[in-house]
Amino acid sequence: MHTILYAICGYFFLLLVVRVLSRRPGSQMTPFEFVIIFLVGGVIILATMGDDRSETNAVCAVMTVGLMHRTVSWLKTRYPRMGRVVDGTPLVLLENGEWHQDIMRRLQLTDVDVMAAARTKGVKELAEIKYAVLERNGGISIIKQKQ
Amino acid sequence: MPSTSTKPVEDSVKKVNDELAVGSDLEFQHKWWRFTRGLWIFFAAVIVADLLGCFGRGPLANATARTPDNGIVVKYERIERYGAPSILRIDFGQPAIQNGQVRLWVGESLVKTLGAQRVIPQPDQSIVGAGGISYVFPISSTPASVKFALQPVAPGIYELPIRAAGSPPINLRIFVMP
Amino acid sequence: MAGVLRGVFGYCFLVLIVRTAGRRPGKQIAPFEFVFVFFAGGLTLTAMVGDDRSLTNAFTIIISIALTHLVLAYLQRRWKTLGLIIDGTPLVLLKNGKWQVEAMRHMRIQDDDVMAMARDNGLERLDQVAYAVLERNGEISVIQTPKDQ
Repeated sequence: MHTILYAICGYFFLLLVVRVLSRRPGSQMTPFEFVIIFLVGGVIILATMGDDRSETNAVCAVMTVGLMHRTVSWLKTRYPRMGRVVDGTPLVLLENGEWHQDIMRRLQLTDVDVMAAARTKGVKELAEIKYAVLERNGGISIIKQKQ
Repeated sequence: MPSTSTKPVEDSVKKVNDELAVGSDLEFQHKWWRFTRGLWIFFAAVIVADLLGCFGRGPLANATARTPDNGIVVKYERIERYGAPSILRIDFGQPAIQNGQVRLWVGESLVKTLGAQRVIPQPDQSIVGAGGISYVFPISSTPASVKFALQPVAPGIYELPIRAAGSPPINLRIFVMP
Repeated sequence: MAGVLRGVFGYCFLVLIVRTAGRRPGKQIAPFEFVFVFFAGGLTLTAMVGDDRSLTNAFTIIISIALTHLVLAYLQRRWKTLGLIIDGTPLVLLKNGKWQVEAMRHMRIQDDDVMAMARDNGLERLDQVAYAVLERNGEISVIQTPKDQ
């Protein structure tokens, strides 16, 4: 009873924390974000399990979290608005040689981050980029200028 | 140069439209989707059962056992969980109270497997023997009750006999989930 | 003894849950999947350790998990069906200019996800995509329509 309620609340809380924190440069999360998420997550996990560390309790809690995950991903495909809340939306950072400054500032991204993503695609300078898009998973995709 | 065993590259991966090698197995995937659906319906049922207390710690797990003369009434959880604390409460009625005290005998599984941690209130006397423990509790007013804090030490099914002088015995059966 | 059983059981249970909970977390885990994997893992962990927080217990559990993993990996190579069960099979999401609706629905993948991967490969529009395949590691690979058409 306690565990299942906590697991449901904890799932949404952790989703919120990760969602608020994880929109950062690069496709991988930074170690700093990992630390916070592991801390918050660990505390939630301890609270969820409480004094009952039996296998039964853990199995039920994991099943609850799994069901939440399935439900939310079903809602995501069903209602696109839900998808935007959970996953965010792709954002254009650079368009035809123009930076979208307000977006870059809010996301604390710099041209260096975009260039880092561009180099992995074999782009040598910023002028070769036609579009740079921050994807929902945090990666930056680069579309090259046509020759 | 040391040679390693080699094998010619064949067209071994199944293709889509005769051009893109993917190697997908749609027959398996359909079976899998059906299985997944069934599995999660089952999981949902398990969670509902857990909320109800089928696996302990819920309304269905709580039980009460009493002797015909209401000498002892035991409130306990018929399904316990390994390592999780719980309370077993015994209420005493008139027949069990003699000379301002209760003489209670419980089977040794209370301590051995159900892991009784504390007894509230402190008994005047506790003696180990005859396959169990005898307690003597002073009683000043009725109704009187005694609480045992349990923390089961191993999963299994355990018998817990309880007897008070002046009242017929009862036998509890407690299932401890892993 | 109990530690070993708990380790093996926890590992197999987690594999089952993660495998059936919908989309498979790939190389680039979106926050959403991260929450699920992390939460499920942590909860299983607490039960695995239980009340025995000794170093001996920790080592025993780690070794039994590692062994289970090795055994599963070995069996997976030997026995093809187990491979299908654990890793799944690649699925075509888009071919001949048509979405494969059933696969998309079951795997809870949206056209946005495919387009994100297409952008990652430097494509600008969906009609440049000849094939999109959901790989076994959860990634979507995108194959471009030949330029000369």
